[in-house]
Amino acid sequence: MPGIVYEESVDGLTLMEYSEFELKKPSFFVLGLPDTGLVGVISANHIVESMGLQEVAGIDIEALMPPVAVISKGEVRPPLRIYARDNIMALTAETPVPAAVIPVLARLIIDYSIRKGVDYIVSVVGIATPNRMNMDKPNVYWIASNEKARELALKLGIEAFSNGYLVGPYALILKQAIRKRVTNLVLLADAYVEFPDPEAAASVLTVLSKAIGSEIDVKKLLEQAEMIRVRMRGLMKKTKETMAEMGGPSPLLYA
Amino acid sequence: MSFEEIRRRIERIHRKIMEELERSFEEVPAPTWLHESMRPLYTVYQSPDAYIVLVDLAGADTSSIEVKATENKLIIKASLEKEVRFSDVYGTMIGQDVVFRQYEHEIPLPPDADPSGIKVNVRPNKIIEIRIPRRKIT
Repeated sequence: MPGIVYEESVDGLTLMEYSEFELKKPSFFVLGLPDTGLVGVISANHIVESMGLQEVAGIDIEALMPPVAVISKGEVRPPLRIYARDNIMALTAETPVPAAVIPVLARLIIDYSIRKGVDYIVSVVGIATPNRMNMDKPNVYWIASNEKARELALKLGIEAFSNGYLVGPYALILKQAIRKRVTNLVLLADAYVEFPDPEAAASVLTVLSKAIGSEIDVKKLLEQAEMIRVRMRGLMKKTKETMAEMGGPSPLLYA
Repeated sequence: MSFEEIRRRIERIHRKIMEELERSFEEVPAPTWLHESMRPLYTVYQSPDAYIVLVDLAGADTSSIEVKATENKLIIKASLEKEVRFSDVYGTMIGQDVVFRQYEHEIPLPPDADPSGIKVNVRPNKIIEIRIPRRKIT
């Protein structure tokens, strides 16, 4: 683990930066937090791997429940990790975010984006679509926090998400972004409610390529889709439990 | 009743309890990881006339998928195309030697499920859809 050049603690969350860096313009901060179909996590992980992003920062949750320390290559590492290269920054997570810390995390992400001069915060979200089973290609929709996000969204050739719910961390990030006049573009893909969904991630990444102006190759992601689904089983289960605590509409009987 | 009789009676009851306990322990299945099985993720939906069970069998050998339904449970089995290491799934060094070779799980069915009308649909992405009609309760 490299040294820490900046550290900031807010209400039980600690943000650590490992190196000084500046993002090129226009800059994008892609958020991959665990929710429906783990679409965000899978997308962010793929961006990190395929575009060669470097680990630059991390966020630790003091009161993480269940109490878990992530250890990788002999080092303790924070459950939320931030990677960056050129004009792209990406956040990915190893555990679901407990409901109690979501408001603080939302504030921290927005404040950090302001400090880093991020032009667009891009939230990658899965929407529970009971009919996902019968779709070859999941659709992608958008929600914009302001006019700047709307202008970008209109260039992407996808429909707006006009009615529905957003439950979990992305909901509060969007509301905070609106309040603080930060640009947040939310991209939502139809996804399996409780299965990791790399196909939905591939749909989002194809749309995101247009937004960031550089191609994200999803071929490898689709080739490895089954193995990703096997690997992500554990995180999917934990995410489902965390989301059940948050409530929100659910078409499920039991599982 | 003499003291001796009471003592013998207690011993008899004690023996019976111990036998009963031992028998029930024999019926408890071994933990699934001992026989190298992984539990698949699944979701159960309820519609007015059927239960729909989606099961994620990523990495399974399609030809090996077995779905059986009894009166009160659904049994799903499939072997994996390639064995999966415990460490691949959980990203940990612990249990490195444990490998999974198959999926196996039993899902309890509600009393109004009618297993005789079961339909199974395997998608190319190895998510399977199992449809079990519901009996009309009169």
